[in-house]
Amino acid sequence: MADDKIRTLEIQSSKTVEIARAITSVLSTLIKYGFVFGCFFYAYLSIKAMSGKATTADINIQGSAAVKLYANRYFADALFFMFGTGGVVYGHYQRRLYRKTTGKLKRLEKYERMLDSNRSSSGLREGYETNPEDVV
Amino acid sequence: MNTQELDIIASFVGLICLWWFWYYCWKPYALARFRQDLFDLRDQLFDSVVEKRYPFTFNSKIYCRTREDLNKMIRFAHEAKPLNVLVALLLDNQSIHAAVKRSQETREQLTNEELELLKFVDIRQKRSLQRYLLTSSFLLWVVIVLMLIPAISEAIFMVYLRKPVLALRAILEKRAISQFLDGVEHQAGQEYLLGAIELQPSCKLAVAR
Repeated sequence: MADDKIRTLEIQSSKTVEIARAITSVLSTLIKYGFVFGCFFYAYLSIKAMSGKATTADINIQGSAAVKLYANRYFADALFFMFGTGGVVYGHYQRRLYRKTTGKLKRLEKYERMLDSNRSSSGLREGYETNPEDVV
Repeated sequence: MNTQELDIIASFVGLICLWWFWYYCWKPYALARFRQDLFDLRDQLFDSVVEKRYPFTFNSKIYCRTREDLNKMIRFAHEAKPLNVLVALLLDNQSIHAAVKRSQETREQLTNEELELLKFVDIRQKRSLQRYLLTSSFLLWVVIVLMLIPAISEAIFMVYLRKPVLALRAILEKRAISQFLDGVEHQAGQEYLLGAIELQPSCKLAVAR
């Protein structure tokens, strides 16, 4: 009886998890592509607000906050600053992850040596760095 | 094309660049690092059995079960999202809590060594998961910021507004006390005039002078 109850609970909780997964997947996709759609939409609205106003001076654009933000000179600068800084940070962490992953290969060495006692090494330092002795 | 139109186009390109960076660079990286942390943990579990740090073998039930759990977590790491947990809890809070409770009850039947091993794995797993969620979930940051707003406002209040508020309160308290004392003096004077109370001898002397 208790086993049946546990089984029912298990089925119920896995059913809930599966439904949650499906809903989350739909919501995540909506958020992901909704953002792109929003970018297009507000760019269109901003361009539309400016249409027919050919001038070299800045015009006070009429529209929502997002439309005004789009036309703000510093907004694009801030975005590209974030993009550039993010890229540098990303590159740094990717390098660390690469080092960690290649460093992990070293732990296989002792198990490989058990099978092949004559196993030779590439001579790289830490498995990824050029050996200082090899630099002229 | 004027400068404002160029700014609009630059803003649009900038937003799309950030979107691409978030979804196609940063999030996959955060996921790869989370998986790498779990691989590390699995290797440590393996090494602990090889080095006999725990009295288990590779055939022990607890070792097999823990490794299996870690493998599942590595495989489904991409599903670790706060939104997932939120939706599951909103859908069926009861069965999720029952499943967690049952897992806790199962743990109560384990030996001390088994619990120690599970504690070690749990702490590391939890830390990796927290780091992954903090670096990959935008929703979580929104929630954190919303939760932090009252704390930050209170801190600002404590730093900048505490002294003026205390001074104001002191002034108000003084006024209230003096008003209260005024009231007492007034009442005492009225009672004296009506003959309800007599003056103290020292007061009589002062009045005579």
